[in-house]
Amino acid sequence: MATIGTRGKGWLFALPWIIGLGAFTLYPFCASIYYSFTDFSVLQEAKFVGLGNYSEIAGDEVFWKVLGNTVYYAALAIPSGLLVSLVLALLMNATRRGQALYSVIFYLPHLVPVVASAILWMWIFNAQYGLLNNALQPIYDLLNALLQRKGEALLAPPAWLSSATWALPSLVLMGLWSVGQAAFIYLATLQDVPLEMYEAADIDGATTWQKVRYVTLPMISHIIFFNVIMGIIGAFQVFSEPYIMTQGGPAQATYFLPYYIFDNAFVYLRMGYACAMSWILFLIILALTLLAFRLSRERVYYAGR
Amino acid sequence: MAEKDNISGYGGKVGAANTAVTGALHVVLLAIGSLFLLPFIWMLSTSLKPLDQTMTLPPTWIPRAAYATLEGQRAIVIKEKKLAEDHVIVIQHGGHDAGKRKLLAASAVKDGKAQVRFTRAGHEEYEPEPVPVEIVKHCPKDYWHVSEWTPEYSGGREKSQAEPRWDCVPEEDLSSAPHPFWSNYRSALSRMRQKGDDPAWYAAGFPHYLLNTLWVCVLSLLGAVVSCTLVAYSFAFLEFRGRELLFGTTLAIMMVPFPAVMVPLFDVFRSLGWVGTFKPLWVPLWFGGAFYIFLLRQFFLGLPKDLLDAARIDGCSELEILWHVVVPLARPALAMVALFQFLGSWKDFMGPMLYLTDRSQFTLSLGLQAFQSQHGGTPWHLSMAASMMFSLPLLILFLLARKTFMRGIAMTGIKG
Repeated sequence: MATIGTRGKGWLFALPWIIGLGAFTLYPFCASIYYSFTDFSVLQEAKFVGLGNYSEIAGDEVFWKVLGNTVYYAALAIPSGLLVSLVLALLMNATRRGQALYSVIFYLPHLVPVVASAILWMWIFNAQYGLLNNALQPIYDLLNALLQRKGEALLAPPAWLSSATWALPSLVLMGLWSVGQAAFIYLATLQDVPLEMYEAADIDGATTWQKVRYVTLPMISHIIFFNVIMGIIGAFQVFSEPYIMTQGGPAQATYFLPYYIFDNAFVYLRMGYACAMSWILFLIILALTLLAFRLSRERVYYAGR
Repeated sequence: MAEKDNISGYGGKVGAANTAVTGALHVVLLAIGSLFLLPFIWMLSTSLKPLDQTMTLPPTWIPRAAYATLEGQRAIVIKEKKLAEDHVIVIQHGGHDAGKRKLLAASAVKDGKAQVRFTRAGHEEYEPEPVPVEIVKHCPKDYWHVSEWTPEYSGGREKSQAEPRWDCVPEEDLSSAPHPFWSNYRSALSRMRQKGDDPAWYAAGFPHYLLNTLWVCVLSLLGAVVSCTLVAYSFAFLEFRGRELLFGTTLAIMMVPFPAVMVPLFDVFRSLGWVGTFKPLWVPLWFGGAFYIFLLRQFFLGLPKDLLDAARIDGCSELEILWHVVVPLARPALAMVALFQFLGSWKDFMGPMLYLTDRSQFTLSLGLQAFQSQHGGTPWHLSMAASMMFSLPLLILFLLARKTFMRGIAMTGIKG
């Protein structure tokens, strides 16, 4: 070892990662740019087609449909996930006892493997015998009793996963069950907010809401920002749930971009086309992340920076 | 936390008015908490029910067994249906099912003969001519048609050769009591073992899937711990040219969504001949993982540097410092990486789905998904039992190592 300086040792220790980063991330990442300009399947060599894939995507109705679904999903899942996890964390932080118990309860769903939670929620969403519709039944009974008196048409609870309207919101609802991780990150950050700040607010006669709005939220804004970015990345990657629960249906209502990329790559064996779409997906995520950075510049407070 | 004892989370002083507020807070939190727990209870409850109770309205939470007397013995029975009209039990003389007992509507028997059905090659058909029948029991309207419950029972789709015992009994002869059907778990396990064309398939079942899963989990977590420790050590303590660039890249690639690299990555593994083996699932972990490297680096930077310098002056090599100084101090962080990776490998669905082709290699994720797509639809009690068995080890692991987990998750936020 004497002949290798600290510099060499540094490289030596980092070597596994340099190889791993190159082989399993950077190379595939760059290769997908190249493949996106080719006609490529497992059966044949890549053939350069220029912008062919991209112009085909522009005219691909299914692509626009799945892109719309993905954006719709993200637009529902990101704000609702943010809201629920933040509220849970704020509530937990306001109590002095039982935080450990609550955080365990809220975190448990996050531990359930996606296949198991998908099957569980298929059963919960079951239109006839599922938990959700049975819980809603009394409300619908009440509503229907009123409607009947007025002589109007009766309502039935949604068929959730088998309804083209409700299948996508169902997946969002199911996602809310596992926000515990984000809630816990918020809670850990909330506990770092210096108490003096609340005391100062107390002296100024601030109400609880004012303290949350003007002390707590600004003080944890960097973590909110972090979770929003993770939320964007997560929402644009959702695959396993629709694959297991709805196979993208009904009527392609839960057919998302990653699923369409998967189908093109491994079912239709159009890997070049799939790569072109995965690049579009990446650019969308990148653009949204940069946008979030830009918006946050004035609004996010970093302690000590 | 200690200084918070007299002050609530938002700095308000504790007083009589605040006791009410705190009480209300706990009510709200407990209400939301029970909403979060409800799916688990629903899963457990369904997994312990006999099939017919998964389809009762409104649903029951506590599984119950119905009992009736069959051939002089008290037995657990399935309530097949409540008779809507008078029926008779007959013994058939002649026809395909000669000698068998049948349940017929009383009006269907005329002059000691009845039009009866029989099953041939899975299809029900009518006998061409009415056959002579002998009435052995009258079952008035509102009697229950019950049949003996057996673990194999799943809605009559796959009844075994031996016909279960059955009878018609009055409502008052039925009784019921809470009874968990633990045998559902055994049935779910045996259902995962599927007879296929290929004899190799037959060997594959839950124990096999479990071994495959554990194998991938252990190899991945060992790889992640070893490689990420080395790499994080170099990021934290060793100066080398390009370190900042490399570290910046490490942070940046956490943003790359998996679908963006999925296709070429598959091509990499295909050209290595690894598709259809476990290698794509664990080998990459031996070459580090961005998130773990980041976590460990942060942890290492918080260690007292004097200790390292002292060891260096004593002439320890970097590897010795890592092994004798850093690793003992960083045990909680290493445990965290090991736990997270175990969890990740156990839960992973997409990786196994992309790379594993043969049923004998399935992990639990794939096994359960195959189970659901083969048997899915009706036997929800078995699906829930299987899902329980798949999730429970993680829930137990979490409860045992709660502190390590929570510390790790809290650290996740640091990078913001």
